[in-house]
Amino acid sequence: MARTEKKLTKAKKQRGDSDEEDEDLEDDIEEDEDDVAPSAKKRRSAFIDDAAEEEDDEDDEEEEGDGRRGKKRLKRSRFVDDIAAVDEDEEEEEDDQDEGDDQFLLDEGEELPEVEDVGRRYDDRAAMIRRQDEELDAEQLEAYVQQRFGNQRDAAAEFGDGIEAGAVQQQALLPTHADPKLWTVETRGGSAREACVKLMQKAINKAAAGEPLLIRSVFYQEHLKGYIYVEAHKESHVKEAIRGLTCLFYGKGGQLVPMKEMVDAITVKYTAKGSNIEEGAWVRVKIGPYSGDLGKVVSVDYNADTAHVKVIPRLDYAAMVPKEERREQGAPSGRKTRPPSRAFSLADAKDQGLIVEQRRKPGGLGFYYILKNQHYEDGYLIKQYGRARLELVTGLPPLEELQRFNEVGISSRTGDDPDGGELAQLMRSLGEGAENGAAVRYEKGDKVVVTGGDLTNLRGRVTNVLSDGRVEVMPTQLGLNEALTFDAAQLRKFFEAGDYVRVNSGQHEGQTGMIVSVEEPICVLMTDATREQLQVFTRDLAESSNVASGVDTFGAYELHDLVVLDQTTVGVIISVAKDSCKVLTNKGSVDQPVVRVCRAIDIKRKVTREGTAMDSSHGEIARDSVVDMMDGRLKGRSGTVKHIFKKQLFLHLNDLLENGGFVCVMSHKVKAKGGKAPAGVAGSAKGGLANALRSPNPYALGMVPASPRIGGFGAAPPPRFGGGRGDGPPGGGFGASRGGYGSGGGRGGGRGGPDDRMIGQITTISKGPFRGYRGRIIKVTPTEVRVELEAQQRSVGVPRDAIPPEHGGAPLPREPPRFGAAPSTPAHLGMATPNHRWATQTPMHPGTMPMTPSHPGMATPGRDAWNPNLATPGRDAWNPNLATPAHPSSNPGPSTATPGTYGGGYAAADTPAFTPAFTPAEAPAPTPAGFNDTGSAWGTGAASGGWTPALPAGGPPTVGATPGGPTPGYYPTPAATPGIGASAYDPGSGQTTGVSSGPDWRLYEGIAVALADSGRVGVVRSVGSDGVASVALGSEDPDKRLQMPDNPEVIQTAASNLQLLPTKKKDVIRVIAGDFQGKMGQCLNMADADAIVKLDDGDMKVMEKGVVGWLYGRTS
Amino acid sequence: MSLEYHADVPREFGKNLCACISCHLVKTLDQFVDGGCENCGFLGMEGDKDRCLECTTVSFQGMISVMDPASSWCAKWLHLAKMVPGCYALSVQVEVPPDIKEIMGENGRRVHEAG
Repeated sequence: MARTEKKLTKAKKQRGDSDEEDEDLEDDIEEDEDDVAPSAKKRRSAFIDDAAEEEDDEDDEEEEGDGRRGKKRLKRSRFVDDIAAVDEDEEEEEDDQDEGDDQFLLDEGEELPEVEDVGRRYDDRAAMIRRQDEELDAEQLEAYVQQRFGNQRDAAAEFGDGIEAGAVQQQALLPTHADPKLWTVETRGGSAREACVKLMQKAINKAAAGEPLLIRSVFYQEHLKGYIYVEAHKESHVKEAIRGLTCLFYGKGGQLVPMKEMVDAITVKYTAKGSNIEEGAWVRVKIGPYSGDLGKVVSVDYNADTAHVKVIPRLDYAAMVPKEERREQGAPSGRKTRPPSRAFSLADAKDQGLIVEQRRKPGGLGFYYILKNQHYEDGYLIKQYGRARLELVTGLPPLEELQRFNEVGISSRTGDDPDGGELAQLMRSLGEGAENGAAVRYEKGDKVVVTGGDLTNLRGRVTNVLSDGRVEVMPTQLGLNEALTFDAAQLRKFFEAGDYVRVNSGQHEGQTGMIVSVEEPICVLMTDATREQLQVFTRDLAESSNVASGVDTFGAYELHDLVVLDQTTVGVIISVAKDSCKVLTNKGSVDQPVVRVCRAIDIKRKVTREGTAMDSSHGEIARDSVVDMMDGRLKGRSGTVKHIFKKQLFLHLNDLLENGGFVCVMSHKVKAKGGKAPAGVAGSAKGGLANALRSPNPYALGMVPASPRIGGFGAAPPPRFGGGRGDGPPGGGFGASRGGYGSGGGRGGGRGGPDDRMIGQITTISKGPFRGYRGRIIKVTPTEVRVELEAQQRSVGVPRDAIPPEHGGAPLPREPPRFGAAPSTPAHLGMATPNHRWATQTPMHPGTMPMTPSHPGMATPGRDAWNPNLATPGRDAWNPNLATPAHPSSNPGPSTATPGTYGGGYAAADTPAFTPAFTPAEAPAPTPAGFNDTGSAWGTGAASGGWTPALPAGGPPTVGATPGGPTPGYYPTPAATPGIGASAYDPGSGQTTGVSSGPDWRLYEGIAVALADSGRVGVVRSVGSDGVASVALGSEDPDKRLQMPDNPEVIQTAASNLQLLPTKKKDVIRVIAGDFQGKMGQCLNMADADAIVKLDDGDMKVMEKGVVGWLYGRTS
Repeated sequence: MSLEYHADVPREFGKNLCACISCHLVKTLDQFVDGGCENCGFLGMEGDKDRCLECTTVSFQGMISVMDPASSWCAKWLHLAKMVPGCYALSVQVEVPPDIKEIMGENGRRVHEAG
């Protein structure tokens, strides 16, 4: 704008006004340009460059001058009162002319229409004024410019250098209206680069021919396929430039890029392919023999756009032998199959007579090898790939692959020393910091051994951890009864085989299990949840009496869900770790199961609808059908159908140790047992493990191989009780109780046990329009029962009281009676829920029940041990034939009503009504509820049995006491008995370590809860010391958030019936268990199984969801 | 606009193009060997293939053909305003060897590092 003004001013000054009207504006303008001598123009454009960016400078300059600015404006307003309105256009036009096309425009006929276009925007007076410029002769102009702007031009030159030196921020270069605009032009196919180059060539050719293109630049972006950008002042310039180029769409013309987006348009997006492949990145090879393989980038040569990648070699040494020799050796030639990826083995190569060159590594340590021009180092092949041949792995590669990858290096480095290899592998898989022994956190109660100083080898227990990091230890040796203080570095955690521990950090965090062996600094433990053996650093362990079920949810999925991995792959989640889970996929067979380790991202969704399938004899198989395997290594075994995917079945075999007991089998390779669908009366699948699996909350990990003993690992009874260790019949009781217990617990998720046990029963409706009809109960709600009629092809809903009581017909009372009341149905309410979580506690059980081992011959626990082929206790639960008669719910006769029966072994002995299959495992299996249902004393017995497993928490003193001493009403006051408290308290996988304390129900006050029995939600008003909570009932809104009415209904319920409602971000919370019990805070975020909590005292903590209660309605 | 003096136009569009690590001019390696870099004579690429390999990279992203460096906003934005017309890389990923970095510094060139 300024320039225009100046010109006008000058023109006027020199020549006065002209009244001449000129139609041919463009000539006018162009001539103006053309008149300017090249030299003048050149200098001027240098100025213009800067002027466009830095108008301030110019302004300053003008002000510095002789006050011309003001004068100029005055004049302008006198002559062209509306010029301001066209200022912008004019300026652009001016720039266009100024900067651009100069002398070449002279007789550029083709330019006319375009300029005309612009010209139309001028009003007559503007045109008139501009025309004056035309008459300005070049010398005069030059002289003027020289005089007026000469000094600034010098400054501008310096300024330009400044840009080069980075003295001026890029910001100063942002586009202005004076700059050319950007236009996008579509290209044909992927020929953007070609278009750029061709346009460059065209511009050069045209310029040489004296008809220059008026575009300023052309560029393309890798990330924007199918377009190029053309920089020009006018679209017509763009069109002119792209005319005749086959690689561009002329017809579509250009699309203007808004000025705001110009910078974005020219900025290179670094997400473009290949650009993130840097040293240390994980990549996948796209082509060649290693396509799809995982590799790690060793180095990147940016200049050559290549990277050296470390991959696991796929070598077939035999095939590498020259052909002639191979023939002599008679080895097969021309192998087509892809060799498996294995660490490079010098020995193997030499066995084949291959020549391997050995060279010392540049660093000095170790060697690398060259075989057939390929470079092998630490067992890896170091291969060079173009970066475009590599695909960056976002995040970490799948765990399994990563481990495999790491193993290669380790195994080859440590050579023949497998122990060392494993150790190093573990170190590696646990990541950095493992080796240098990052600070060990001691906790009160940890067993430690002194490793330095005078008292080396002294053992003791931590009694206190001081704020300065030192640790107080109470020696356990005789004669020392004063706590000593040590530096943490002088101590080491200390465990023995048989100790019961929890993993505090690392991949297996949260798992609990028993130590099988100790090889400092590593302990091997067998987990409760999956019965796998894990290697864990001693320092990551802490003693724990709690049995964690392990993590059983994985993001939105749960253990044993059927999930979709890709279009053709589905699978069952068979175990869950901290950030990965194992999925048994449908890609394998029974004999060769394919298990994939998946992260949350690998799982697409959960399969919710499942169909039916046909067995070998075209019988229908539905979920929960019990089928026999007809084929394969598991021929003759029977399992329960857990999922059906097309023609594939996922069966659960309760006595199968691997893959969580799951197998995937084609439906035609099985035969349904006893016809179709779930067996009738309390089909075992129903009553026991089936429910555990099916329940929405399958904590019942007891179902995982019920009898780990079969597979060995000997009797590893609970560590705490010396008496129990190793002296029973190998673990029969252990496995059994686990299985049984699990089944009981699996019911979880709100509804009580009896409901589930009603399902499947054949009953006769006793009331209402369907009176007299027989049918099978298929669904039970607290008020209604759905019965599939035998006589008609339909199912009907009838009130619960229309079902005879022996089938569990009576409606469920809302509130459980207080203790002291007969342990009738409601009793289970309190019990069921906490119980089910504790499914895996059972292992303790044998230890606390010294009688079990002492009756090996009588009860199944013993039998298992001696005869693994016979059904394990867990299996009994699955087997309708065996289980059914014994099933308490279906057999609520008084004969079972002896508290003493619980004892498992005793039960079988004392009560002939029990089949031998009725094992201790089975006894507690139907949660106490089941027994209570019958109104018999059984309930208490069973309850105690069920609870006992947790007792170790309370320590040895409770041994023996509890089994005999259950009182009908003890459960509502869980806190009264340490052992019971521990079991009732359910912090998920056990936040507490060491000595656990029972939940303080009073902490529940104000917290949003769901009631385990009815599924209703509300806020706890108060909890009495008797363990009865009053709960104001609310409702759930569509988001599953609790909403409270103004006048809520208040009911009384057992405290143990309370379940926490999930907490959300920003909720005010109270920690109801664990180390921070009682503290309040705010939930900052929720992770999968954890809540990130900011406590009111300012500490940020990550704790498990299960211990964080939402204080409804409170805001911080 | 003067296109009388301009850089060689790349002879092909494929993968054989490389960019000068100093000014980002894009040509084929052969063109660099034959004519050096029109902007960066100080690198002494002409006739020296090894030097060319050292001073150019194939790892570049995007390309801009600058017809008129002086008036083009894009050229200004990319600090190409003082370069000769020609084809340039929009971005170059490169580790500049120290000696070349030094030479570039001496000649008033900024070093755009990899990334």
